[in-house]
This record gives sequence, structure tokens and C-alpha cells, in this order.
Amino acid sequence: MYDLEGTVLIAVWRMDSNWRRQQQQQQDAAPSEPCDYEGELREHFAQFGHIRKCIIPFDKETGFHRGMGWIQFSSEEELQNALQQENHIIDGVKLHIQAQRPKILQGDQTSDEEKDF
Amino acid sequence: MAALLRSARWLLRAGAAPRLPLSLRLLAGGASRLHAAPFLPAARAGPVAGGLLSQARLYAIAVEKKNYLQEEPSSHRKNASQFDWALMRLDNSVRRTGRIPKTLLQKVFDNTCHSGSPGGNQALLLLRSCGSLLPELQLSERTEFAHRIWDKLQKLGTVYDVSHYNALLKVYLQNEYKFSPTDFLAKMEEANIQPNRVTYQRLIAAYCNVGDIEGASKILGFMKTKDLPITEAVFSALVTGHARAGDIENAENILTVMREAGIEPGPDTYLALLNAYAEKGDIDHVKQTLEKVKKSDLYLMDRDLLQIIFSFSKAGYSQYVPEILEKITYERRYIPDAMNLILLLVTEKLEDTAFQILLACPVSREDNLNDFGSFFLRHCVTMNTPAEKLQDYCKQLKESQMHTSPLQFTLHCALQANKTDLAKALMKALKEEGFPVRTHYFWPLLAGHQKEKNVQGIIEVLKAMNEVGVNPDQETYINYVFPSFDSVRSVRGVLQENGCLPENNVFSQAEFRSEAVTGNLSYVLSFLESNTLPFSFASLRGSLILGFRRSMDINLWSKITELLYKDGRYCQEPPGPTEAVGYFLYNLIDSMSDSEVQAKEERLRQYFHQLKEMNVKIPENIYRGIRNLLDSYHVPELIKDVNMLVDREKIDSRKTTQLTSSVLESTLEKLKAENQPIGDVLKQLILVLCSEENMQKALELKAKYESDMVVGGYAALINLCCRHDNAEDALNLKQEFDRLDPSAVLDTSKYVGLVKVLGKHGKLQDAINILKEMKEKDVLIKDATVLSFFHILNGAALRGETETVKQLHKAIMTLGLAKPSTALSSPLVTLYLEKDDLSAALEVTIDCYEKYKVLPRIHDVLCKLIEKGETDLIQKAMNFVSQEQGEMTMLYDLFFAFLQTGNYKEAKKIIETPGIRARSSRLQWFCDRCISSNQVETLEKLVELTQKLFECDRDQLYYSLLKLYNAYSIFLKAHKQNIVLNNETYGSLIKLLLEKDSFLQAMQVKDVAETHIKGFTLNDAANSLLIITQVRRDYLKEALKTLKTALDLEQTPSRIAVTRLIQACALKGDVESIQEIQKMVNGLEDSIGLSNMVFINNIALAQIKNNNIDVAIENIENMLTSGNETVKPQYFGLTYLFRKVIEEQLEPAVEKISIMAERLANQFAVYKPVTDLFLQLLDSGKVDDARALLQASTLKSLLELIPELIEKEEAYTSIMKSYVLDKDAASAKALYENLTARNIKLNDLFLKRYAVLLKNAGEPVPFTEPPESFEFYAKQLKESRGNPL
Repeated sequence: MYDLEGTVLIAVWRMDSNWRRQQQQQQDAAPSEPCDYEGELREHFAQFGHIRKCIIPFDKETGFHRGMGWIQFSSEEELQNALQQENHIIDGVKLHIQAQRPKILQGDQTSDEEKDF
Repeated sequence: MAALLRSARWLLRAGAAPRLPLSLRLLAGGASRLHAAPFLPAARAGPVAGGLLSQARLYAIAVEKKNYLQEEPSSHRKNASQFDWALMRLDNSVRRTGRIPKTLLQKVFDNTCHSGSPGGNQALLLLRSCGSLLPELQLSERTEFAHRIWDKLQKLGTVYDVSHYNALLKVYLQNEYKFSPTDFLAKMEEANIQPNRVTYQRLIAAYCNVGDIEGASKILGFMKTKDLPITEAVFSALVTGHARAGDIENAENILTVMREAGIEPGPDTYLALLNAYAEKGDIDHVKQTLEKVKKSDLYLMDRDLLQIIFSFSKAGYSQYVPEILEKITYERRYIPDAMNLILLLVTEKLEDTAFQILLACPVSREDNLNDFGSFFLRHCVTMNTPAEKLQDYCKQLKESQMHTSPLQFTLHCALQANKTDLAKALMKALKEEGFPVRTHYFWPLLAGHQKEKNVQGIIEVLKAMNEVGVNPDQETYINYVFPSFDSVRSVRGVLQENGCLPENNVFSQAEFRSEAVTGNLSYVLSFLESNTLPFSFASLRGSLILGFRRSMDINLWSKITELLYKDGRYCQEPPGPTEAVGYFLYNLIDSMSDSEVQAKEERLRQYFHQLKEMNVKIPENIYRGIRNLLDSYHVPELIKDVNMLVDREKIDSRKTTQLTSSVLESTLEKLKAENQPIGDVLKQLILVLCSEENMQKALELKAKYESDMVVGGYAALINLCCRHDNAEDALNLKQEFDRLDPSAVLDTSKYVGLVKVLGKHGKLQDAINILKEMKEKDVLIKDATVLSFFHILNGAALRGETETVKQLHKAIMTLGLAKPSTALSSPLVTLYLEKDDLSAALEVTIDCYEKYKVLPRIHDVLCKLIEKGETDLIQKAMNFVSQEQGEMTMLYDLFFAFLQTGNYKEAKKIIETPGIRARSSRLQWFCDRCISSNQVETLEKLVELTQKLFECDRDQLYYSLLKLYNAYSIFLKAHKQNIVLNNETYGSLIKLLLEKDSFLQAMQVKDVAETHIKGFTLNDAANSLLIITQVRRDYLKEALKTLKTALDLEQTPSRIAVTRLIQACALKGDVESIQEIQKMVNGLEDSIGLSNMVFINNIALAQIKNNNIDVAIENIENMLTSGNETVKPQYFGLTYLFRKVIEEQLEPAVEKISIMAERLANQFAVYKPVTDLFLQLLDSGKVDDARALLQASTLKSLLELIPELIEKEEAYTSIMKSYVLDKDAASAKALYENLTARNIKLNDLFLKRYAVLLKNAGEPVPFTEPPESFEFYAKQLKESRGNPL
């Protein structure tokens, strides 16, 4: 999806229970206004560099976001800045971030039920 | 067997390892307290009792082993792996979280059921999971689950033995299920299962749990008569029994009795006693007993203490919980046990106690990594714990640093569970804590209501949002609110009534967007016209573009664009309408794919022309952007249409290059007159003229001011001339350019342009010189440059310019401007393939291999060779490939060529060559080729033929095939994403699917199209196809409806569609429908090409089918004899009716029709029916009937009456046949002479018959008798009729 694979950050919301369903959702064709939450994310990550794209896919069926989002920086350096910060807390919830690997491997093997503690 | 042993070891290990949590030991069969064994002094236990005890502990394992032996050997492997899997899943869950979630157990259960007939051990595993491992379920629910499993597995054929009954008992005990032990025993007896010691022990426990000592004694009596040993478990149960009967003293006494019986009370007995005290709230005795145990060499585990806590809490003495908690030592594996208890307490509505235990859990709080307590919060939400309590828990969890975001998590759970009130309360709490409440928090609630189209629910959520101070955004309206209503238009009113219509313009924008994206441009226009809210054009752009693309109404496109351009509300602010609308056009075209632009070229042209008429202008720089887009879409023909819109008067103050040519020209003249330097202005003017594509003027200007020309001006001019295919001037300019500055370098693309135009105009040497210069000046060669080289060469090859191709290719290679490649050398081969000079083509290909190690177009060469049957050349090619690239490559080349040319048999032989293996890259290459050229059949054959190919990746092939069949899947994808296609696209997709006979898919597309597009219509062709398909599937009502729809739309359905429908109705005997159709197409018969006879034939057939034979015949006779016939008798063809009546074996009808035909011929001199019937009878082999008809009627005179009849091949052949049958040589001779006199070419069958007739009659044959058999000529004749020219 992106030309600069290495500059993409994946932010993961831990509270979301289903990791394996986190497939990248095709952005709906209808153009959308950035939602307030997306704005918050952009603002947070803007401290590390210029944000080219910020995508939080929502599942229209359930109304929940899919527990992960993509933030694309302009450069590898900015990405590293973001990775170096220990805590990323948005709206009181801690995000786990990682650099986009070239290929997303199968989600980890822990089951959803085991994620509660 | 190995797998079985493995699982057996699993169980053994699980059962024997004391460090595992309680749960696993339960799973392993409830051999509890194994850990106590080392502490049990052998002396005190006595040898007999000790042996029995250990036997008791291991009983489960013994049972498991027995189970394995009972299993059917054939199902071993499957059941074993299924068991391994289930055990692993359940064990994992218990190990980590102290429980099994209901969903997991259900999943394992379902899976077990699907696996066929589940084995005994699987059943055991499932049953044992239904007790205390399900702390989140109410006790009654757990037992229900167990019963469900029990019944279902029994139905599936699982054979239960005593271990299963024991397991069920254990579940009953754990779930405090009230049941009758005697009934249970009766049930076992009925099933012919002998209860064992464990059964009795558990039944005693069951009685004891309800304080029924009498019942327990009865069972105890049983045990004694059967000489079964009384174990510690029985005594422990008795402790509980006496205590629950209110007799604590006797409960205490049991311990003495035990000792007297030679059994030392172990931890189980003490635990029973402790629980008994706890249930009475007797903390003192609990503490004393604990002290006593501590001093003894017995040992209570944390888990035992947790059970005491539970007993206290459940009996209402939670005040003592802290005292017991203090005594917990937090062994390893404490956490899962604690989690189990916490959840159980929440289920029992003892969440405060649960929370105390949770807070006391020893979890690391510093690292902030693991939030602890989520499981508790989630379960509280499920169990409807009041919001205030939850908020308090969250606060404490946060303060104690156990959980970083408890409120957020709880909110998440509340939303998942769709608990609106709780969610609302939590959001308020969040807000109070200073966290923002986000719009999307409400989406899950809305999503729930939206699915049910629950408007009231939606309104309530909107009100709640209002209360919390959150304004719905456009997404909220578009994704959740609007779809809950039947139409977007009705939303506004309802929201207004309920006071949730926001004052801002978000709602209007959302309305606008949702209408726009469905392509409802008339709404868009009226909205824009009447709108009074301040809208930024930028916010509308995206939706507008989608709307434009989904609407075909160019007039609306233009009107909307004009409105935006001219109306004061939208684009008047800087940078102004020219810029804004120009940018909009750019985005519109940018958003379309090249194929879309190509498909809509004419519409876009109309649009641009209408805009021109409306005086809409766009800035030049944006025009250039659009021009580049159109160029890259390969629709340069539209460029001039956009160019008309360029605002030539407007001068951009930022750039002088924006100056128009006229202004520049006058400046130039002014400067010249003032004798000032004009170089810069001249160059600008040239550039402007070039961009205006005004070559003539630019060249004149250059000639006029030649001395003032600079390098940049020349470069632009050269390029302009190349674009305009003006080789002469381009070359001259290039030479002037070189003279001006020999070291100057042009852009790569300009060099390529020069090579192209020079080559095309036969200036080969000049073109080569340019190539040389590119090398000398080290011009950057990009991939695109190489591609351009290919296009230059290929264009020349297609024009047959042999020298150009050869020389330019050679120059490019020798200069090293590009590496040798198959693509670049293919034009060399193309030259000869185009001329069908295959031998030369092959030679060039081989030559390329020798020179450059590439084999250009070998596939195409081979295909052509095969088509032409050039075996020698094929042999030559194969020898070469085989020698240079190996036999396998050769075989593949040949295989693909045979496939491509449709020689499937040969292809099959090749691919079945022994030793051939799959070469995925080659196969993929061919697949891609088929896909790009849409060769479905070829690809299908490839898939079919490679079925047995060794190591062949079938998935990949099928995937390729699917790609080719992708029309429907594209639709599905689009549908899933709510992308609405336009009428035409849906229509052509439906047609495509119908053509492929994918009727159901076609109907699905149609349904979707009809929901998305109001007044969706199919075109004539698609409707006709639909009718045919519907008829074929026997959906006649629907077909009739389709016909009506088409006719209402003033379409002309195809003749074949209407005819098929009428015929199908006739065969059903449906006269009314045929008459209805007749009325519907009234007046259209000519344009459809429908003969009135179709109706006459089919109405009659339908009537006959309804047994109204007389009516049918009467009608026909009337039509032929009434004198005012609509169809002239000689055209009154009843062949269809006759054929059908004969085919369908409607004997009475055939008979009556024969009579009718005779009567018409004999009495009314109407011969057409009788001849038609005669021919039909002959055709269907009813020779006797035909002859009878012939004799009855006056066919002999027929020929004179209807002379044209004789010229019909069918007629004379049949008549000859009848003469042959009658051995009537004289008539035959007359017929033959008559026909030869008319110069009619007679078929061989006729001649053969006549010849044989003559020979049999002993007469000479005046022509050479056709040598083959009758059958041969009959067949020949039939085939020739089957393929009319």
C-alpha cells in the first residue's frame, strides 16, 4: 500500500480483543473527513515528524476500529524517533507501536480469550 | 498409535505434576491431592488402605487406558489428533487464565462433533470441562451445557462407560446440581453400566452436600455389601454432610472415626471441616483448625484457602475474607486459581469480595506493561454490575497501578456488550477524568441499532451523544444513521422532531455526501441551488467527483460545474472559480482510471464542450496537468477539448511564462523597436506557442528572430515539430541547435522523439546519428527510454519498414544504449511474422539467440508454424530450442503453442511426456498471457491438461482462471465495499453472466443494481438474453415480466427471445400467456421479425396440449377458409405445430390434423398443410403414415398445383422416396425429368434412390449411380442441412 514501507508505523490498541481479524481494510471509496480521533493520533505522532498518512480502519459492521492503525512518516529517521519513545498514550490508552515489516506475518498465536490479563 | 500414546502421556504428566493448577488435575480425571501422597505416612495409612488410596488416585488414568483399548482401531489416528488438539486448547486456556471461556468450550465441542464420531476420551474431556472450569457461567448453565454435550455425543455414537458417568457426577457436585442419586443409579443400570467405587463415593458426596446423612448411609451400605473400601474422600464427604445437616459436632467426630478405621485425615478432610466452619461464619474455629494443620505435617495449598474464602463469602461472611487472604503464600500458579475464584465470585454477585482478591494479587505494577484485571472488569460488565461500582473499581485499579486504562477498557466491554446505559455512564466518567469522549465511541451502539433499522434506538444514541457533548460527524450520519432509515430524505424530519438535528452544517454535508456518492446529481444540483449554509468547495469535492463518476447525465455535470463556477456561494473566494473548478476537473480525471476515461471519452468531450459554451475557464497550469493525465491514459484526443477551456486572458502575476502569446508578441516587438535584447521574451514566447501547439507561428517567429534564439527555445521547438510529425523542420532545428551550442544536451525524451520522427520519415542515417549523439553525450537512459525504443522499432516493424527496424536495432545494440532483450529484438521477428514469412521469422529468432541469447517471439513463431503445418520448420525450431535451452524448455514451448492453436490432443501428449515437471514460471507466463488476452478456453484447457503434472501448483492455476472469470467477483467486491456501479456496468455484467449461463449470479447483480439505482434498466440485448435464460430455466412468469419491462421501455426484444417464450408457453398449454404476448407485441411484429404464424402454431399447440384439439383445428380451418385470411395459404406454415404434435406423440391430435390437412387439400384446394404434414411425417420416420396421407390426398396433382413445391429439396427428396416405396418408376422418371428440365441440381440421395429404383425395374440408369450407401448420402444431406450457408 505504501511506497515507503520502512517509514510506516503500526500502532496497536491492546484493548481490542481480536488480533487475527486485523486485516488491512480497504479504505472505503467514499472520501471521508478525518475523524476527531484520527486528528488526535496525528497530533501525537506529529511530535516525531511529518505525518504523510494516518489510517485507522473501522469495521462498519461492528462500529469498532480494528485495533490497529497505520501512521506513515516522511522519513525513516522520524519513524525511529517515534519508536524510541517508550509510551504512546492516546486518550488514556496505551498504544503499542512497531515498524511495518515488509510482510505482515500471521498474527501471534495467543488466542483472543487469553488476552485479558 | 503414537499419537494416542502421546496423549496418554500428556494425561499422566498432567495428573502427576503437583505444580499444575487445580484445573488440570480436574481435567486429568479428578485424581485430586496427588501431591499429598508424599506426606501420607505409610505406617498410619496401613498397607491395604494405602494401596487402595493410590489406586483411587490413579483410577482416572486406568480408565483412560481402558478407553484407548476400546477405541476402534480405524478411528485411532483422527480421534487422537482431535483429542490432542482439544486438550491443548483447553489446557492452554486453563493454564493461563484459570478457566475455560464458554466460547472456547463451545468451539471445541463443535469441532469434536464435526470430527465424526467422537471417542470416549474426548467426551470425558468435554464433560469434565463443564464444572468449576466455567466460573463465568451460572451453575445451572454449566450443568445444562454438560447435558447438552452428553446428549449430543450420545447421538453421535459415543459409547459411555463408568468413567463418563463418574465425570457427570463430578460436574453435578461442582455445580451443586440437585439430582436424585437413586435415579442416577437406575439410569446407569439401564445403560448396563456397573457403578464403581468412585461412583458410590460421589453419590455419597451428593447426599452429603445437601446434608442428607441418611441417603449417604444407604450408599455406604451398598459399598460395604460390595466390599468396596471406604476412602478418605468418603470421610471428607461425611464431614460436609454432618455439617450441612447442622451437626458440626458429629462432623468433627468423623475425624476420630477415620483414625479408628485406620485412615489418617488428610488435607481433604481438613478442608471439608474448614469449609464447614466457614459456612457457619465460625472464624475462630477456622483459625484454630488452620493452626492445627500448620503444626501437623499436612499442608494446605493456596487454592484450599481460596475455597475457604469462597465458603465464607457465599455464606455471607465476607468480613472474614481479609484474614484468610493474609494467610495466602502466593505459590507459583496462584494467579490462575485466583482468577477462577474472582470470576466465580462475580458470577455469584459477590464482586466486592472478588475485587478484594484481585487487589491482593501479586502482580508487577512498575513496568506498566501488563494491565491486570481486565478479565474482572469484562465479567462485571457481563454480569450487569452497577456503573457506580465499576467506576469505583476502575478508580482503585488505576490508583493501585494495576491497570493503566481500566475505564476505557470497561467502556470497550460495555460497548461490545451493547449496554448503552453503562456505556453512557462510563463516558461521563471518562469526561470527568479529563479524557475526551470520541465520536466513534458511539458507533458500536449505533451499529447495533442500524442492523435492526431501529430508528428509536438510533435517536436515543444521538440524544446520548448530545448529553455527553459529542457532535456526530459525517461518518456517523452516513455509516450508521442514514442506513437505518428507508431513505435519506426522511432523516432530517425525524431528527428535527426529536430535537437531535445539529445546528451546524455537518448534517447537511452528510446528506449531500450520501446522495452524491450514489450518483444522484439532480439532488446535488438542487441542494447547491437552494443551500444557504457556508460550504467550502474543498469539502464537497471528493463526494462530487464520486457522484459525477456514478452518473451518466452530462447535462447535470455541466449544470453543477457552472453553478459552482458562477454562483457567489461557492468558489468566489481566492483563488477564485477558475482555479477551483480547474482543480476540480483535474481531480475528476485523476480519480478515473485510464479505461474509465477511455470508455467515457465521448461524454467527457461533450462535458468540456458544454463548459466551453458556459464560458467556464480553467488556468493554464491546471490544463497542463490534465493534459499529462490524458496523455498517460492514452486519450490524447481529449487534450484539444480541454485546451479550449484554458483561460488565455488571465495573467498570472507570479510567472511571466503565464503571459499570453499576444502580450508577449507585442512586448517583443516593442523591445525590438527599442533595440533592446529580446532573447528572454523570445524564448518565453516560443514556449508559450509550443504549449499552445501553434507550430506554424512558432516556426515563423524563429525564422524572424533567428539570431536571438537560445538553446531552450530550440529544444521546445524541436519537440513541438516531433509531436507534429514534422521531420524536416525538426532535423533543421536540431542542426541549428548544434551550431548554436555543440555541447548542449537535449532531454532524453526529446532525443527519443527525434529518433522516432526521423526513422518514420526514412531519415535513417539521421536517426542513427541522434542515437550516436545520445551515446556520446551520455544521455540518461531510463526504463521508459528503452520502452520508447521498443515502440519505435515495433511501429516500424508493423509498417513493414525492414531497414529501419534492422538498422535502428543494430545501432541501439552496438552503441550499448540498451541491453539486448526479448522485447527489443521482437520487432525483428515481427517484420516477418507480419508478412507470413515464417521461415525468415524463425531464422531471425534463431539469429537473435546466437547474437543476443534471447529467443524473441518464439511462441508466436511456433503457433504460426503449427497453424500452417510447417512440420520441417517446427522440427528445426524444436531441435534448436532443445539443443540450446534443454528438452524441457522445448516441450513447454511446444505445449503452449499447441494449446494456443487449439491442438489440445497434441498438447495433452506433450504434457504427459514421462519425466516432465511443473515449471511454475513458465506456467505462470502462459496464464498471464491468457488473462491479458482473455482466452478463457485456452486457460481452462491448461488447467485441465496439467491435472496430473508433477509438482504442479494447482492453486495458482485456478487463481489465474478465476482472474479471468473475474467479472462477478469484481462485482462482489464492489458490492461489499458499497461501491455503486453505474447502470451500464451492471447491465453489461448481467449480460456477461447470462452469456456464461450464470443465471443466479446475474440475478444477484440485478437485485443489487435495482436497489442501488432507481429505475435500473437492462438494454435490449441483455433483456432478450434474460428472457431466453429464464425460459430455459422454466421461469416463464418472470420471462413474461421481463418481456413486458422491455416493451414498456420501448425496446425491441430479439425474435428468438420472443419465439422461445411463446413456444415454452405453448408446451405448457398456456394459451392466455401467448395471447397476452400477442397483444404486447402488437404492431412490433415487423421490427422484431415475428411472423403471425408463430402465434397461430403455438396457440394451436397450446390448445391441443389442453385437449382442445377440436378448437385448435377449427380455428386453423377458419383462418384458411373464411376468405379474409391474414396469412396467405401458401405461407400458412404449420410445420412447427405438426412437428411438435408428432414429437410429443399426441396421437389423437395427429390423427385429427391429418384429417384436417386432407380436407383442406381435397375440399378447399389448400395444399400447404398437407405437404407440410407429409414432410414432417417423413422426417420423423413415419413412412406409412406419410404414404397413407399421400394416397388419401391428391398429392399427385399437388405438384402441378404448387410448382414451387417441387423445387424444395426436402420435397423432391421425400417424394422420390415415396415413389421408391411405391416402386413407381414411371412417376419417378417424370419427376426426374421435370427437375432436370428446371435445371435443379439434384442431391446424391435423390439420384441414388432413383438409380436403384430404375435398376430394380430393369431400366437403364441415365447417369452414374452415386457409389456410396444410402446411409452415407442421407447423412451427408442431413449435415448439409444442419449447416446452412
